[in-house]
Amino acid sequence: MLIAGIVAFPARTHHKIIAIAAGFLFVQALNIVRIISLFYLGQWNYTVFELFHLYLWPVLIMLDVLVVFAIYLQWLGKQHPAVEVA
Amino acid sequence: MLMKRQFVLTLILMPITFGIWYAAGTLFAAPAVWLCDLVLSLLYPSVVEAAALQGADMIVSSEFGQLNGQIMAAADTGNRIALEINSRLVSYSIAFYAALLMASNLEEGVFKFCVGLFWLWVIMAFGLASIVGKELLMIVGGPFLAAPGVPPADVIALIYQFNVLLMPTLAPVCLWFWQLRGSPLWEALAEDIKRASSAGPSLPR
Repeated sequence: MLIAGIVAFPARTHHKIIAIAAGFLFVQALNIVRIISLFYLGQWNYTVFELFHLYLWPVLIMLDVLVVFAIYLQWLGKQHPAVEVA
Repeated sequence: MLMKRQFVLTLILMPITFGIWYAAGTLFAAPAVWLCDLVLSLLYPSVVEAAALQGADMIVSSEFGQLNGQIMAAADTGNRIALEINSRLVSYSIAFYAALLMASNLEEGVFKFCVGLFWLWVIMAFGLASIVGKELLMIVGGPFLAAPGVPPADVIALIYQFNVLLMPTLAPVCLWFWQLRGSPLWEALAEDIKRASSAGPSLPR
C-alpha cells in the first residue's frame, strides 16, 4: 500500500526509490516488533494475543504507513524549499 | 506539527475506542450483519438460508448439509451446515475510524462520525459476505462452487483478501481523509502536498 502511494505520487524517480527503500525498512522494523510482541503475548494470554494479532496490530501497521507517507511528503517539500506555494 | 498531534492523539485515543468497541461488539456488528443477511439471501438464495447475530458472532445457516460424510443440498440431507463468523474481524474498523476522527477534533464531529459509520457498516457487510464465501469454499468446496452465481475460487480468495484483510484498515483512513476537508489539518496537509508536488518531475506544457 505504501509502495502504491509512493509510486502514484508525482516525484522524481530517485526520490521514489529512496522513499520505497526507507519505507520498507520502517514498516519491516515495526513488523519485527509486532512478531516479537505477539510471541510473548501468546505465551502470556491467548485472548490478549488474539486481540493484538487480529485487531490492534493491523491498525498500528496502517498508522505506521501513514506516518511514513506523511514524512515522505514533508521530505519531498524540503527538496525544493525555494518553490513558492500558492 | 498538526500531523504529529494527529498521530499521537490517535494512539492515545485507541485504547478508549477499542475498549468501547470490544464491550459493545454486538451493537456495532448488528447493522452490518443485517445488511449481509439481506445481500446474501437476495443474491445467493441457493447458498445461504439466513444470517443472524449471536453475541459478536454472525451465525450463517447454509443451504448445504452432510449425509454419510458427503456434502450436498440441505433438502437432501435433512440438516444444514452452519457457520460461526467472528464479526470483530471487520468491525474493528469502527474503533480505528473513531480514534482518527476524534483526534482531528473536527466541526460537526458527531454528524461526520454517523456518516462514516453508515459507510463502514456497508463495507463491513461486504467483508462479512466475503468471509462467508471463504468459509463455504473451505468447508463445502465443490457443491458451493457449482451453485449459480458463485465466482471461481481464485476470485473468492482475492475478494476475501481485499474486503477482510485490507478494507478494515484502509476504509477508515479513506473516510477520515474525505471528512478532513476544510479543517486546519487538511490545509496543512494540502500545503505539504503542493510543496511536495512541486519537487516532482516537471510536466510538459
